[in-house]
Amino acid sequence: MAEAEAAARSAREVGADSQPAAKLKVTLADEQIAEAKKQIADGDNERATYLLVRARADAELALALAHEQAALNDKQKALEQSKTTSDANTPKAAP
Amino acid sequence: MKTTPVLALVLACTGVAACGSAVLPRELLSARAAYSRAAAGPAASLDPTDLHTAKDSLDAADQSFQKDGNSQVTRDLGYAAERRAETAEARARTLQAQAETEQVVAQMHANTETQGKQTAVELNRVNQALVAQGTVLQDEVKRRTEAEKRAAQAAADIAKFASVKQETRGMVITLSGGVLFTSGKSDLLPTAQLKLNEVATALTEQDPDSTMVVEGHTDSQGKPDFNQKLSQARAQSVRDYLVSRGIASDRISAEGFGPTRTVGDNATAEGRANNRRVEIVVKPKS
Repeated sequence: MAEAEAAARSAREVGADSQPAAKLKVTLADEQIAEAKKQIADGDNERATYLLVRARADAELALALAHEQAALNDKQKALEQSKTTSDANTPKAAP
Repeated sequence: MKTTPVLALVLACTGVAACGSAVLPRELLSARAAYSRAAAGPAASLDPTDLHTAKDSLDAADQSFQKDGNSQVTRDLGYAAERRAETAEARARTLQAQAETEQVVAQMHANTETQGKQTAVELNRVNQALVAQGTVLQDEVKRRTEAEKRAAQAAADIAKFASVKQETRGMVITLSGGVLFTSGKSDLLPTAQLKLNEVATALTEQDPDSTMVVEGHTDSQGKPDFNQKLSQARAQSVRDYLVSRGIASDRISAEGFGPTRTVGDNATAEGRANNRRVEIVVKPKS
């Protein structure tokens, strides 16, 4: 359970909540972790184990999607900065 | 072995029954498709570790299916396997984006460095040009200062043997005829040449663009025609000498006035001496 919860927390820390696909996955992970806790409380540890397998997979996917979004944002910023630098260094044509 | 139709029918029915009990769960089907897609994409080269994890998850789901069929556990494992495959794809895309970002940044740095070098070269060129220009200006200032000193010195020297006056027609340098010529002659005395050297120096340094007229004047003694010719010859003699000392010939002319423009009383020796003169009129640049 700790691994699933840690993965969900990490996903949120890198911005999963601001990326729709990642947010959906981390929400699913949360729900499955909550369900697993309920199953444990009911004594069904085996069901809880597989719910946590699902939760961890969802949370780790959310983390990966959040990282991807961050990388795409960085790339966009670099491209914009490159264009700005290039424009600034290009001699302007005479009017 | 020959199979009887009845046995074949039994086997077929058994097969149908087995197929019916072994219908692949949707989660496992999705997991297989997701893995196939991931394995065919950039994850294979960029993120083989996560792809391997996805394959292990898929194998576990497959084994569960083999063992338990379409059970909840199989569906859970299939669900997780699909996410693992999607995770491998997302991480591969992340690595790809990061590599592209690094490429853009590296190119940007290279461009900035190239631009910086070009700017440095241009600055150096401009700096050298300014230094050269400064040197030229310093040389010019020095040259002018020295020329002004020489002209001032020459003017001071002229003032020792000639009168210098500023009139409306220009600066008038008056040289006594007795200093320049033997009586009745137009040949310059050797001492006159020394004095005219200083005049020439002052005129070339002081105002190189001005024009000059050398005017010859006599007293009223003797025949007017002779005095006219003598004054013209003396003016011409002074003019030619100044040209020989570096004054451009097109800047200087000569004119004789005989006794017509007196400055003193021809009835007295002193007045006549003052009338016998050569004037160099320096006309300011118009």
